[in-house]
Amino acid sequence: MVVAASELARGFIEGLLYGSLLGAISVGLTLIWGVMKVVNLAHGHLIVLAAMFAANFYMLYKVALLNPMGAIITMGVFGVAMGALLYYTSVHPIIGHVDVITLKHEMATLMATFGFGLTLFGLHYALAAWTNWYSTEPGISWSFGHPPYVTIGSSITIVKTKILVGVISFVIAFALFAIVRLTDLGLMIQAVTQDSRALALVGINPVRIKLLTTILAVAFAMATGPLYLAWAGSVNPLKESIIAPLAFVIVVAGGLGSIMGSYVAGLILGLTYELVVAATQEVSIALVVTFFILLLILALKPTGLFGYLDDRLASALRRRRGVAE
Amino acid sequence: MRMLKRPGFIASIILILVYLAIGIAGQEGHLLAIVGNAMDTMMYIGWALALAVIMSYAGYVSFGHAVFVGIGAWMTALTIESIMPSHPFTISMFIVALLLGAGVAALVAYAVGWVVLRLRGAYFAIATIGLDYVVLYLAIYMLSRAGISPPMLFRNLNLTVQDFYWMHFIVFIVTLFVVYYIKVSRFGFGLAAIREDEEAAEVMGVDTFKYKLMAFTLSALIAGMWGVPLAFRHAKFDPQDVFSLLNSVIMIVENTVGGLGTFLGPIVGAYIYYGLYWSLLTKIAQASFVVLGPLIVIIIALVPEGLVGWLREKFPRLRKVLE
Repeated sequence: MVVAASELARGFIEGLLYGSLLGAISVGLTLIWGVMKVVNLAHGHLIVLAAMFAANFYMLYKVALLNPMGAIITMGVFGVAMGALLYYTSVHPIIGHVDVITLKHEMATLMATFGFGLTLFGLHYALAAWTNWYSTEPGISWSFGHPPYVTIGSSITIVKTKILVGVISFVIAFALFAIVRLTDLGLMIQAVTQDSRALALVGINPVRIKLLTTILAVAFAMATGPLYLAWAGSVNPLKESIIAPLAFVIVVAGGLGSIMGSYVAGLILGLTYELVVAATQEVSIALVVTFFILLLILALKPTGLFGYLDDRLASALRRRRGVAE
Repeated sequence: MRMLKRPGFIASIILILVYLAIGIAGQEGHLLAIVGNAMDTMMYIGWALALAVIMSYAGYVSFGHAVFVGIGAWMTALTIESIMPSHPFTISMFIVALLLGAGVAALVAYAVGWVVLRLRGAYFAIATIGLDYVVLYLAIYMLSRAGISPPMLFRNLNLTVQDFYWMHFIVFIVTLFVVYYIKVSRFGFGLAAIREDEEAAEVMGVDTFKYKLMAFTLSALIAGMWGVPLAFRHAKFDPQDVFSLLNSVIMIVENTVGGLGTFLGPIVGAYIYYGLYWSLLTKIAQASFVVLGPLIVIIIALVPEGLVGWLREKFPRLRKVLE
């Protein structure tokens, strides 16, 4: 099989950009899973919900503020409400007042968030069945810049929207990293998992911190929904079945709770996926290869690859600001 | 002999007699609707019990268990179209499909379980979701290589509703007895120990990894068997349909609603699910998630032990009857 070098080069660049998006999609999951030990199976559904809402509102009302880029903020704000809803339905009844989270609690929240996600999934079809303004597969026609692509060399063209998505994805991932590792709220979030009783002892309400963590994770997840929409150009509820497993692969590969680790793992998987697609022109094979990598990583190193990355980066940034270790 | 007096065994015998009676009465022709419903409930009970071996007995939730039903259906497609092409339907074709479906599902489960059963809880759950998608995309890819765009329709085998019913009935009997035997055997007690506290079980001399692997393989074997009557009945192999998340969800809902760690729980859960499914009569199957999703959340948050577990706890006298 002969593959043109320019095709592979395009696959490489698009792989990096797609990887950046995948990384941003996963950071919300690594926060709630790695830090709170809540395996949020609703994660993919929340992202798709944001993308579906963005697509529907933009296509129906053509409000400039609701174009995919504007919707990043609207859906992030919407994510605050959804995060609170997720917390009070699926997380609080099980681990709200629990100090040490055991495997049983972990399985219970996993099942509960699974049910929450299913509800969101069914919501799309219920809305489509019972109202006539809601379509289940809205595509969007939105592009960025004139002309909407850049040309590198003689034959490699990259759509500008994808570059924009890649850059904003990095900003989102880095913003969450900064919140968790460099602010007081972030310290409290890290403290609540280490010892929530001691946290209560120094006058901080652990329940409130758990709520804030969930809200943060869901808001950042939902903010990436419109980004996915801008990248793919269309969305339907079944896309969850591609987004969520990829996000789980990435979070495990990146090391639980490591935000920059997830981002780097996202880059790697994005590259793998796009390069396999470029080489074989076969999407189903690329997905099989990607999931195979998950099984491989799980078998070889269940603790993930980049667990230490966050610590290194955070201490480097603190040194630069002149804060003592 | 003591086993024959146990409530779960008696319940199994009653169920089998009831379905036998329906099958014989269904020959009449005007009872076809009842026969269809009975077939559906047998299938849902079978699915629930298949997942129960790993989820309810050993405490490991497999989120992609539909993958084994799908493998069973896939092997049926192979049997009808490739292994025994242009044969008229005989009982041996059903048996070959059954052996192949159950065997391949068990082999896949053994190989995958050997890797992922070293992991606890969530990692295992996610790996099983991944497995479902891997096999789904593999099936689509293999079909497209063979020049078939899914769904793959079978040739006409001239089967009647009664034939499908007895196929379901055979698999149903096997499922009930195998799953019940697992529950009451020494092996089942080992699994219960793993569910309650894996470290303690290990200390007490249970070979936890071997037990989990056996449970996962048996659970896949039963699920694989259920793919066979399903494929015969629908006369097609549609990867998007049999590997669907909905099927895995149904299994999980049945077990969760009925109650974990019991034999009757999944059976009760299957009837409740089927009742809900009929009373909702939603226009689109996926819209029923709007009811199933909150149901899972409510059960997990309020009655984590499920209906049968709750009854056992509330009325200790019932423990003799509800196994």
